[in-house]
Amino acid sequence: MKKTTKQMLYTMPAVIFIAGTILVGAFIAVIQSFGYFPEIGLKNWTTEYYRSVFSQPLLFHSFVYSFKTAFLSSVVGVGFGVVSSYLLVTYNKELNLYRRFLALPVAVPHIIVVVIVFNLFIRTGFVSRLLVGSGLLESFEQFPSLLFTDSGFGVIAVYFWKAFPYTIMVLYSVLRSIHHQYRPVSMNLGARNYQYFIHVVLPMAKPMILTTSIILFAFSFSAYEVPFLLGATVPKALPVQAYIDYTSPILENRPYAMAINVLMMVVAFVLIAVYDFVSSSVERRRNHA
Amino acid sequence: MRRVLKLSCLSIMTLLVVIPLLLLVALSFGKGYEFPRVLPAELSFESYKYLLYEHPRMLSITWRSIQLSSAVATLSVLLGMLAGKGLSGDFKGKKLIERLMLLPLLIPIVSVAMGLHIVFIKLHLANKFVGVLLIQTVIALPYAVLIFTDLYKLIGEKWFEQGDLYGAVGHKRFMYVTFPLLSEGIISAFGICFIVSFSQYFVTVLIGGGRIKTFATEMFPFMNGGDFMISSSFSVVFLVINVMMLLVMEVIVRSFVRRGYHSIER
Repeated sequence: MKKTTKQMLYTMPAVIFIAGTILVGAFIAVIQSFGYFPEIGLKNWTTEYYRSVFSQPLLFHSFVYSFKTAFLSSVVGVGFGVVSSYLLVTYNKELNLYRRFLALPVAVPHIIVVVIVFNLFIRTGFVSRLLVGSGLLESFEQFPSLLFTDSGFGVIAVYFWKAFPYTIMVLYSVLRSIHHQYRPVSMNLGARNYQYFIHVVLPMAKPMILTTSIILFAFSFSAYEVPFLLGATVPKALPVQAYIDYTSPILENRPYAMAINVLMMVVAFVLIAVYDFVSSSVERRRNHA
Repeated sequence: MRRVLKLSCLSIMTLLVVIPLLLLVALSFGKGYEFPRVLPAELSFESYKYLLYEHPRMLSITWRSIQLSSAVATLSVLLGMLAGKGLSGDFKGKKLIERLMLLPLLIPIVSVAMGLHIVFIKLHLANKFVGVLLIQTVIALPYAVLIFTDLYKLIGEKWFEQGDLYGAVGHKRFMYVTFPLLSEGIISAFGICFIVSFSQYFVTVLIGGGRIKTFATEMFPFMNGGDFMISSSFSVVFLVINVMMLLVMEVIVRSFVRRGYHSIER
């Protein structure tokens, strides 16, 4: 057998596994959203479910809520992550201990982070106790309700706490190799530290920063657990709303759930296209060099 | 001055990570947390006792849950090793396969699982251990594939050729060459896949139909229930189980590698 064919065969079990589940699941969600659901006797193709779902103002609010929480947490998280990995790189000698501590949240799953955020930010929680104890507030009633509100604070806090350590983990080695190669050159050419950071480090790390943000956004946009536990009653995050429609005792409501699911998948596909574009442009640049 | 500024920035970031974790542990061992108190009044194991005694099935569910996640991690490591070996070389359509492997990380698993549910029901996989095992493996597998692809690329061909030269073929090649070279990757891939599986809630409830109970599904109702101590002690136990599994795996893999070397010397 040719060596290249053999290489491909090695990947087949995993390919069959992932394609067989992800593609089949996505395919069924799509056909059900167009009203083809023979198991309960729905066989007419229709866009009725999309029209009805998209005409609800509530769904628009759900979309905005999901988008806002995912966007803010990944942008702020990646921002903090980039700055801290840069700081770690520029002072890397005695900072190994910092790096160890900053890596901890990567191993802490989201549902545990929900407990952490709850302990800190509920109105009778740690932060409120600190403020009351130090006399800045008189009672917990003055502490704002941060969780379970449409501000999405709790959800954003959870994803943020996961995002910046993840960014550090991914970016640290990249920034370090940039730093070793280009720092002396930049200094030699008279760049100041902030100029070096803005005009050398950031542009070179941009593709990595973008792909990291996309992965973080995609996850927080479509995960169920965190907005279910810490989100508002109205509006609900898209995955939460989809599951409510899915579990409705009226089986004819399932296509509504699937229409929301397809909306979420379309967003994911746009992200995948961007991811693909960014990572292939990196490869092209590497090939030119 | 600049240095002080940078160090204090980093210290603040580190505190953002460490203080919430310490608070979690402190609350889990606490008792008497009336409002203005910043920390609990006294040390107590009450909430841990609650987990053990008020939930008679907690121990058996935890054990079953460890078995499930170990199975998920093992399957992911095996498939990931093969795929990583394949993807470290070159062949037609490799880019497409690489993209496919990343799909579970980027596409909404919630949506895919709702679509798949009916297939699982038809195949009699729903509400069963096997069904949950399969769906969780899909979620964990990409991490294993990424780790092994990088590792195979890093190791390169040279050691395998070296082994061939000394006549390490078939199972001997796996035992004495491949396994020791990949051992670090096996440990970390197993650990990550175990954590990913152990913390799944949604797919477990959907595909398991509420009948397959795991540690995560049991602790879920307590997560925002308002009792700081109970939810914190659940979390601490959760983290301890994950760390312990990582250590167990490390010991197993290391001893396996060492036994391999000893048998060569003999």
